Parts: sequence; structure tokens; C-alpha cells
Amino acid sequence: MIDQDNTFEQDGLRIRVTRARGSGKMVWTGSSDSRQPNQFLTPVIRRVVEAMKGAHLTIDFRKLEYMNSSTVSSILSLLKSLDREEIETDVVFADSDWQLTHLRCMRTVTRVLKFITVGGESDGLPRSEK
Amino acid sequence: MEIRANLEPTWSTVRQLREQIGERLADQPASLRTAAQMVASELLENAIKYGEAVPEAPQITFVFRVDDRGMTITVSNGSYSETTYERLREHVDALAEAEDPTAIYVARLQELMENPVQESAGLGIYRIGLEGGFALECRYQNRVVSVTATRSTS
Repeated sequence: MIDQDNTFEQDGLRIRVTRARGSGKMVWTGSSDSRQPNQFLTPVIRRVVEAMKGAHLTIDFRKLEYMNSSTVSSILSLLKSLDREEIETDVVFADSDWQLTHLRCMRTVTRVLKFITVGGESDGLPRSEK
Repeated sequence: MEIRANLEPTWSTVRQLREQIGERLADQPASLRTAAQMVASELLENAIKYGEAVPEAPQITFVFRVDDRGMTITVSNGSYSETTYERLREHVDALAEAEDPTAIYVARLQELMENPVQESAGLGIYRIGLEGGFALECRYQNRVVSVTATRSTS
């Protein structure tokens, strides 16, 4: 049973956020290429962090087709906020094509974040679905 | 194959050109196609963000060319500010001199994570080298900034 189900959309980017008991999902689809993605994403991040307290969250980028480099900053803010609130989070990228670079770099840069795990499909993530 | 366009600095042109490149490279491997689309988008975004109309360059000039030797994307825009160009050149030089492009990209991500209020400047340039596998050159002449990205198609 899904307790919460919210979809946020702007200009080709769709983010669906669901929570069922102790398990949450945030699924990104489409393209994030707006000039200032933080204007759309910052309020979304605030709501997600609030909604996922006490849950195990999976953030799934596998169906994201494109993102500009400005979006990367917002994603870092999201991960930092989740870590600060001690929300266990699995971040999943595709193992192929353009997402592979982001997978590797995000994995490196988030090593200092205790509650964040970044991986690809071949890592067996998301753990919450095991 | 070539796409050549004079563009007004409106944000919607970024997506339009990215889609156009995707269509023109439909028969190419996905990795090459997505790399070209990303590089064109990042360079155009920079030109729109930091460019200005000057008499020598009232619009942004975009040239995308693929031939037997490889792929070239050149974006030119006007700018009265040499300081803005110098900041761009610092990032382009850092990428060219980097033994490992991943290291400078990750270092930039770490800076952004520690200080999220600052602009993401530089990240797009490093991404062009790391994710796209393109080499970059830039120049500033007669108040026109030109950035050229090249890579082999083999």
C-alpha cells in the first residue's frame, strides 16, 4: 500500500516520489535542462527530505535521459540534505552510456556521506528492493 | 555532415539543437550521439549565460561538423568582458593539462558539495572532456569568444 505518491513536473523533467511504510522511492524521468534547475528542484528536495524521514529511500536515475551540469549541483544538495537528516539512501544510475561517468564520480564524491550509497544496476542496487 | 546556425540567446534553442543533432546522428553509436548532444548543449548554455551581443557577433554562431577525421563543434559568442573569457580559459587549460580528467571533475563536485551556493561554473567544461571525450580549445579575438570541441569518431 502506498502511503504517499507525489509527482513533480517541469519542462520535460518528471520526478515521482512515493512512500510505502518504511520504503521510499524517487524516480527521475525525462530531461533536466532548464537554465536554473535549482528553482524547481530546491522545493522538491525540501519536500522529499521531510517526507522520507525514517524511511529507506531509493533514488532512481536510470530513466533520466539527459541532465545539464547545473542539475548536478542540485543533486549534490539533495544527497547532502538526506545525509544530514540521516535518511538511508541508495542512489541508482544506469551502468551504461552517459550515466556511467556520473555513477563513478558520484560514488567517489559521496564517500564522505555516511547514509548515502551510490551504485549501478550491476551492484545489485536498489537494496531496498531485495 | 554539417549543421550551421546563427542563434538568438534563448534557452529553448539548446534543446532544439540537441534534438537536431540526435536526429542527424541517429545511425551512429549511442555513446557518440549522446556525447555530441551533451557537448553541444553545454557549450550553447555557456554562450547564452555569459555571452553578449557585440557588433562583431550580434548572435551566437553554432557549427557542428562530422567528417572522416572526426567531430567538431564550435560555438562563438560576443563578450565585452575579458575577465569572463579568462575564467573560461582557466577551466579549458585545466582540462587540457589534467593527467586524469576524472580527478578535476570530482574535485569540482567536492567543492560544489561543500559550498552549494556557488555557481556550477567549470563543471560543464570538465564534463565535456571526461564524459564526452572531447578536447577543447578557446580563443578571444575582436570581442568574440570561440570554443571548439573535437574528438575522433573512430
